[in-house]
Amino acid sequence: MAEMTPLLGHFLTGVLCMLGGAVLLCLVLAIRGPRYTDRVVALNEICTLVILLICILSYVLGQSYLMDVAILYGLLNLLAIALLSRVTVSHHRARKEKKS
Amino acid sequence: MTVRIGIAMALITLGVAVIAISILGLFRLRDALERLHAGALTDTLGLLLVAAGLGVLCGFTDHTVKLAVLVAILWATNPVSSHLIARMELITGRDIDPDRLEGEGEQDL
Repeated sequence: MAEMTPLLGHFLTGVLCMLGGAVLLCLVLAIRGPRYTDRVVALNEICTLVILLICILSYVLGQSYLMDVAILYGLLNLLAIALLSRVTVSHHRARKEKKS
Repeated sequence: MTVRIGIAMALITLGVAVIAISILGLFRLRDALERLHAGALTDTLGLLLVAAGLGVLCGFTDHTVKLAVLVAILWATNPVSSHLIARMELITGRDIDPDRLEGEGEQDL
């Protein structure tokens, strides 16, 4: 189904390697960030990069069910960030009420 | 055939360049809100360019339809998550409460 020449295969492998390097750089950013919102931003970026990686991998392997995994991954990212934001904000508000 | 592969490789290369610029911005900018601004580049243009390159490679198959659905869903959900992160930074880091500012308030998420 999918056309694949040796040049295209090498090119897509190189792109996969570069995306993996970008994920590692974002991991460095997530470890280094001074506040936890910086870490959450880096986590969001890692999620988008991993989605792109899964898309290219599904073309290389020639199997289109991996795209469903990518879509679910994006939705789970939104769910995780909404939950984290809600818990953090409510915890902060409770601590501030107790202090005042 | 060869022209199609050339167009796709050019699009994916542009997408990777945009992602590289975005990561450079994430390292150079200092604040969380500025980093959010730099990271939005990957979510919009990088995703569009890489998905367009893969779509050119695939032609009209179910793979392309799933790519279009993926781009639509990510363009709808990523601004929401960016908004939530920025709101979290405002409330916990800078002590500004967006719910109690003047004007139309936000919903209590």
